[in-house]
Amino acid sequence: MDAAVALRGVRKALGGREILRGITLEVYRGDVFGYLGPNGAGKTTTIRIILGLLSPDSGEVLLFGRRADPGQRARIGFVLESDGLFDGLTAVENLLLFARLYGVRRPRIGALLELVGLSAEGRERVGRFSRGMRQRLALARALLHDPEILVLDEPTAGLDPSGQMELRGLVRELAAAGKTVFFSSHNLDEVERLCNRIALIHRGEIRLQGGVGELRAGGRGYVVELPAEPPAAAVEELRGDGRLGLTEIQGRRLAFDPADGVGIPELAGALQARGLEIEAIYRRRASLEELYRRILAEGE
Amino acid sequence: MRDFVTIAAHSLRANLRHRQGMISVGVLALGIVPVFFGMKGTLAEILAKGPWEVVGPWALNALGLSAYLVSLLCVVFLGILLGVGTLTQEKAKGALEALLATPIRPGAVWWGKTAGSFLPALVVGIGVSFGVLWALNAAAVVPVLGRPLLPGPVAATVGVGVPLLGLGIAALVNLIGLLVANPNIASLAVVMIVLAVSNVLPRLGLGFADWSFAWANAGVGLAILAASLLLAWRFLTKERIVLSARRL
Repeated sequence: MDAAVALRGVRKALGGREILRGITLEVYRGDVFGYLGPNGAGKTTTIRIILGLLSPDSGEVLLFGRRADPGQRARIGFVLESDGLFDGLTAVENLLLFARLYGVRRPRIGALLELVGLSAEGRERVGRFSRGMRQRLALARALLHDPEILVLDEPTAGLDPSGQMELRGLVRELAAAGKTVFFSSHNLDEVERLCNRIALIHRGEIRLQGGVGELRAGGRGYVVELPAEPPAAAVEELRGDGRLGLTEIQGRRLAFDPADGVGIPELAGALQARGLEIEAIYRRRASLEELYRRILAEGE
Repeated sequence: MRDFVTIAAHSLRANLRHRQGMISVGVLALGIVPVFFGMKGTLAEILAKGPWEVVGPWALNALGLSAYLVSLLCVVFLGILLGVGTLTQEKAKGALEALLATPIRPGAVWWGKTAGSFLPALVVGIGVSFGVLWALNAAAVVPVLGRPLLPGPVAATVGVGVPLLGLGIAALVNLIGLLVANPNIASLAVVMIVLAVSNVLPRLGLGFADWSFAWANAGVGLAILAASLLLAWRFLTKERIVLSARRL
């Protein structure tokens, strides 16, 4: 299957500094793809290359298996970090301007304004809008020509929590409607909640790429759930056994990072030997935050 | 063509709504009033000095100078002020980047922006210049000569020469504005060009009421236009525009 968006060995230097160092990534149809990385990692440069605002020094960008050209790029809708709206125009005028540029004969302006909750503000100048309203209008603009791919560059940056929730809700709706979403963010929690696949960029290189579940499964150790909080004496004994590697106790949940050769049977045996009943035992999943910290630390 | 018309219409609307546009018109009016009263006095003084056969060339020259100054102020400076005001804001806030992220060609943005700032300046310029010519005739010429004066070369300067100069300069200002971090620098550079041109042409021995003066202005305008096209062909890319934007 052709990826909706594919970057192959993309390099870009700006002002004598190499911003992207051979980026290769694939976003499949229907993905909500999280593009993670610290500030200055190269996220916005990648997005500008996908949108055709910058040309790569080498490498190529493919959209649906074909080299990206202006015609292909008309299949992309975008929300830029800066929202890119015209303050002097009303919400409707902003949408009409872009509808004409995309050659949309009968733009669904009313429906789109309703989708983003701005029906009542259509005739107001955008200069008076709050940050949240602007981002929602930018999303409506991105949908004007019914694109197959949505590229969103930190769309929730600067929004208050309720604004973030609203926008995430809209993205979920769009993904459910079959849009492919490329979502750049440095908010790990947000990416973990929204995305099915991610890539992590650090210093211009992709350091991690794959399904969120698959990447998180790479966590170390086990979590044991007990029916009740363990007695202090049993906890002391478990702590004393260095092979078990008890790392964390949260109520009736214990986390272990055992030595090599200690698996689930050995761990279960050790707990039962101390009179503890086991309700569940499973492999510990790494959070995106852990993965992120690990990758960033490796890069130092 | 569709993209050009879309951007031109959008720019026109944005320029007319922009606060700087209104301020520019006010400044312009303040500039034109002293020009009118100064030239009215000069013209009356010249016509009072002797018979038409003697003072005629001086009077025509004064009339030509008045029309030239007024049309230059309106067409060129209003065009610059209108265009640069919105361009600076759109660049700084990322709106220009959003336009460029559509399948539009950068040339359509350039010409659309140029038309959006030049057309209102042209309409105001031609209207005000001919209005001032009419008012000068009514106030200073008709009472003395018993007939109005509208020499062909002066009409050509106002109707063709200065508009072509204005178009060339609007194109250059908008081009530089798209390519440099601070579009105000562009307007400053072009103000210098205009001042130089308006100073050099009369020193070449061209009278303000001569045909050669009208065509010299048109020629300079076309030369600036050609230079702008050459610069655009060499430098105008989406990448350069995006990278030159400085965020607020």
